[in-house]
Amino acid sequence: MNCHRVQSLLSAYLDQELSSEERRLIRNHIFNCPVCAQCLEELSRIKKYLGGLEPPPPQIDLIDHFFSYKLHISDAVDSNPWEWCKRLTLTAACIFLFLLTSFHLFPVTNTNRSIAGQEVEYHTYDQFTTYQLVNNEQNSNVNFFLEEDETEEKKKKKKKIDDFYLPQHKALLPGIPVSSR
Amino acid sequence: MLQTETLSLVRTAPAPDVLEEFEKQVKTYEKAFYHFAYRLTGNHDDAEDLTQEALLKAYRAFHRFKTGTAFDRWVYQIIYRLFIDQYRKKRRRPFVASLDESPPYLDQEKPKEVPDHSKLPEDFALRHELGETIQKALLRLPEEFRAAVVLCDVQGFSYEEISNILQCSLGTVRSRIHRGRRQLREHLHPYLNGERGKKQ
Repeated sequence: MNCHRVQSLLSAYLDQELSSEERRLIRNHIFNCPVCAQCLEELSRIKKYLGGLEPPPPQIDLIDHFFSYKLHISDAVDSNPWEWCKRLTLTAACIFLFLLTSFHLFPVTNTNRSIAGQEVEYHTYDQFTTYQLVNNEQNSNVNFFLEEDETEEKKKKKKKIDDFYLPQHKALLPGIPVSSR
Repeated sequence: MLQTETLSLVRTAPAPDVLEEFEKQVKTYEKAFYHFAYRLTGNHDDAEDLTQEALLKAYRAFHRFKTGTAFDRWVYQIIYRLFIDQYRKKRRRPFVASLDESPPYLDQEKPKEVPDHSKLPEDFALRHELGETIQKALLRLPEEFRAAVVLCDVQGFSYEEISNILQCSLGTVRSRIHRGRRQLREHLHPYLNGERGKKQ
């Protein structure tokens, strides 16, 4: 056994929690090793100090206080059924107050009722087949091009109308001062 | 809070013989319970709270206690679990101190009333000082090590009993006690050397 192993077992050796073989080995080692012997001595001194600590007296009479308080409370409850009546009325009052305030804050008016009564329409989709999907896709592409053409035509029409109605010369004519306009 | 808890337990277990039995058991071990709580918490107020709360829990669960098994170990287990829970809660809560009030540790440093068994005032002073030093060193240990060391050295339980109380394996108990004592030795090293110096 080396010193490290012995020192890890010294506490258990002190408490006599080792087998007789281990005890014998440690005893032999301590006899030859002054470092481990000193360690054992210090540990045993600590154990002795801890064992010699006196129990501190509680500042109040703890146990009597505990039992008298508990018994006192139990007597009070057994002889006084009003305790529970009081609690029940308090709970009922709380619930009443809660309902009152909630109705006051959120009153039920005709608009609220109509909003609540409205039926919500959900959009439902038909089931697609692969052919339909492709077809729809093509259609959408075609539509896209058609829409593009339409917008271009509209632009041309607008330009024509503008050209027709608006005067040709937008630039200011010479000789007329700007400030007078 | 405390009142409602007490009321609920009264309704569930009103039989007087149960209360008598419980009281008899508690009065047998009351000093040891308080001692254990004091060594864990390090001050009287917390120790009193811890003991009372543990006893309340024990009374509430007294119908589950098997007669014939050790009552003290059962209560020690409750005290230890409560202490660990409270310690974790405390650690999560940040410490808030008022600048106007005096620091709380000044109140705790008042000399406690200790019964004077020895007639010599020197003896008394030495023992008091030693107790304070050891308690401070104990408080510096991690709480698991502290509980194991206190149960072993102060309360005098065997490793098997401690493993039952702390709900862990024998190997864990052995390592906790070893590491706890090693740390205590480091903290008390100047004190141990001083003692030896005086003796030599």
